[in-house]
Amino acid sequence: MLFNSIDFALFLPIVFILYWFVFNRNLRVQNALLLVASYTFYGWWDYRFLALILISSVVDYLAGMQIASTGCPGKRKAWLLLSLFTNLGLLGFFKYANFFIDSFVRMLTILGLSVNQSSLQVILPVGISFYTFQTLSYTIDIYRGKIKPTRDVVAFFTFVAFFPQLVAGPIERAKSLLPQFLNRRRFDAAGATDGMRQILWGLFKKVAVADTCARLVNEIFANYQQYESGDLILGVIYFAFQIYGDFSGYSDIAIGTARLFGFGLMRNFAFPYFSRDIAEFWRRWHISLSTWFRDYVYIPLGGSRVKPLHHIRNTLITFTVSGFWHGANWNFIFWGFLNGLYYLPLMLSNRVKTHMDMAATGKRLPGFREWLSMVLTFILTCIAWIFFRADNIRQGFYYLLRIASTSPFSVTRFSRISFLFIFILVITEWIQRQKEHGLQFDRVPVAWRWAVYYGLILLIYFSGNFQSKYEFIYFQF
Amino acid sequence: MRSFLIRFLLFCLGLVMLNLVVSFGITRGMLFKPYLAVKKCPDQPEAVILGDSHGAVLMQTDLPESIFNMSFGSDNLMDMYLKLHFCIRHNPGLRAVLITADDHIFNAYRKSKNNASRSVFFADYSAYRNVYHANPVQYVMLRHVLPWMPLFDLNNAQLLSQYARIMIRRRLNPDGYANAILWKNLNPAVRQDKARTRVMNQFEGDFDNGLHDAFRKIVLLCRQHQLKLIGIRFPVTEEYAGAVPQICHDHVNAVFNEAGIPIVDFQNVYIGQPDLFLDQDHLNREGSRKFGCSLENVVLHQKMWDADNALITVPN
Repeated sequence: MLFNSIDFALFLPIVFILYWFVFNRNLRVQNALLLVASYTFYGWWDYRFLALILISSVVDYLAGMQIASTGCPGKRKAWLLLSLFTNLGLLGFFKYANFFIDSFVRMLTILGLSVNQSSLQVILPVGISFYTFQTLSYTIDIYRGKIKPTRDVVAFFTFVAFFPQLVAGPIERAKSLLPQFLNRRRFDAAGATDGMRQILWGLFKKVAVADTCARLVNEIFANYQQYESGDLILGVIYFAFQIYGDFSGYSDIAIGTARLFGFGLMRNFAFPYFSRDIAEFWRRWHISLSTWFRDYVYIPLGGSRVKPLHHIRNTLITFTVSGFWHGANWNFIFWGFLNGLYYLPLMLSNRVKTHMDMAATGKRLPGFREWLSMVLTFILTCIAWIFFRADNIRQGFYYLLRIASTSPFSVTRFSRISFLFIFILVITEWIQRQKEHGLQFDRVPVAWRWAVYYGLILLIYFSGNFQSKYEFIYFQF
Repeated sequence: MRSFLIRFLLFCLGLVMLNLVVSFGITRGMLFKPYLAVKKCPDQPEAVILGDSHGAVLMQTDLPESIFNMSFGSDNLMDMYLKLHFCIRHNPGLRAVLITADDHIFNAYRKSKNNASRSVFFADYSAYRNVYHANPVQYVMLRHVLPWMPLFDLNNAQLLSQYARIMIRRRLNPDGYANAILWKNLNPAVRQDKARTRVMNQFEGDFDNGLHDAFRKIVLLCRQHQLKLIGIRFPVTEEYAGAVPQICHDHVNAVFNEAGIPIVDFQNVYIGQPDLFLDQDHLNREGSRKFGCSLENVVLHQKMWDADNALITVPN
């Protein structure tokens, strides 16, 4: 079920009413309702893949219990390995099997050996990368002694499958989300109202900004040989806002929806395009994934408390693996590696934490230096996005080459409507940059607030992208 | 919770009000009024025109009193079947039906992108269900709720945004806008391009079985009520006529021929007269006036009612 569909518009109020008005007396029944709703939400796409969520849930529930109950290090490790093997095995098979087969065959071909290739017909289950990482963090944290396992089966299964963040995050940690299933929830009117605003802002970002840009991006990237530099640059800018609108829009809807049910999910995006360097960008972009890789890849590798060369290695490995998480293709791996390369100069010059606050704090507009840093960071990000969006790494390089070798003054794909939506997005988020999301305002008079809500609803409606064919980009990861 | 629900309901009430404003201000006039107007069909016309947007541009005042134009928007053959039922029920004196024989009428595009929600005004539930397989809730929504709540009908989104854009452009530059969109003022390359784009959009997909079924039902219904069915191919520009795939043209001729329905082909009557067109395939006000006369001459005066010719091409 898509957040921007009529199905979800009917599904959400039904679950909301049952949750707060029918099953509000008993926590376990409320959790059971959320579990049924979550499985329905996921099964709407393809019920067969519910089996994978069930396998992950059962294995991690048992592994968590066993790791905590046994004192024998060997047994603890065996249960942890079982959890890792099951989750990464499922992920590896469904997401990476064909990539490894293709790469292996290509390598043999390069070595002069001829092989009959037959790819597997594997459908990638929506959201497998997200819930796999979420459940993995549960068993790893129990193994590390950071959290205790839960005995409540329903609460745990609902934690794994919680519908607002099941298919595209934020990737929650058991430490923060699981206790919310175990404690009684109270309706918070202010939180729910703000949740509704966040949902509206997320819908605007997805339907108006991302889907409007998507049409142009698809056209330009599919026929990049026919376009000159001006259009190709526009294509990357459109994509930068498409992926931001798409993914942060999804996160906003997910967080807002969870707030309607009394849950607090972690922030996933903190206005990343206002970053002044790449380190700051990665503290603001897909925060739940970046911190996951920090805690479960970068730090176990030794993090920064190692020799400089090992530090560089750890950083590049973390970024490259993060790229590989996004997709089983060399262009994603290169995208991750490129971001790692961007990061190295800052790391080596000890300037990773230069910009810990928000740009232009205490001021209305940024100074020239800050403005320049933001533009440069955006340009670097856009160069990396080319490889992210390209069909393969070769296309990414050709795209860059055409930008460098053709006229930047030939622009045929400028879309006023896309730029209007991007302008509204950027201005609103700049004004609201110290807040959690673009529509978080309390001191504005009611009439103004409501005018903004209705205005946004009309903009979303008039963008005409409802029931669009553009699914959320991150569903494919 | 109480205050949240009250605020939420008030917000929804605001949405309902917004819908009513859009309904009375824009959509009833733009989308529904012509449908509702043709329900006030004059007594005893001899013939009705069932067409899509090509027929809809023909003003009723340009037609003889005995012919009533019941075309609208992007109606397809399924809508026309429902309208024909309505017509027969209300006009016992009906003798002939002039139905569109334009080249795209059997293309799948016609089925997926038409105003099915509007032809609901001509049908009771059982008739509508037979054609569109709608359930009672959908029927009630389409007929009684969505006309008042146009913003809840997602099919209107693109139409309304287009309307808003045109209104803004007109307001910003009234004279410039009017001149810029006149077909005769466009340069030949732009005309070619527009015609090609239009054809690409209108002829996408294969021929649709449902539309063929609807045509057969129309033929049967006319036979049952002794109505003469005549195909009309409406005038289009040179650029559009040149871009239409021959296979579609031949297919329509073959289907009509097989059913024994004559076609009066006006397609090329105004070739080389761009001043009669609003765009690549629609007549303007002047074109409507001229075409009204032609239709009267050819169809009424030459007693087309009794013609047996399979294809009558009206010369330029």
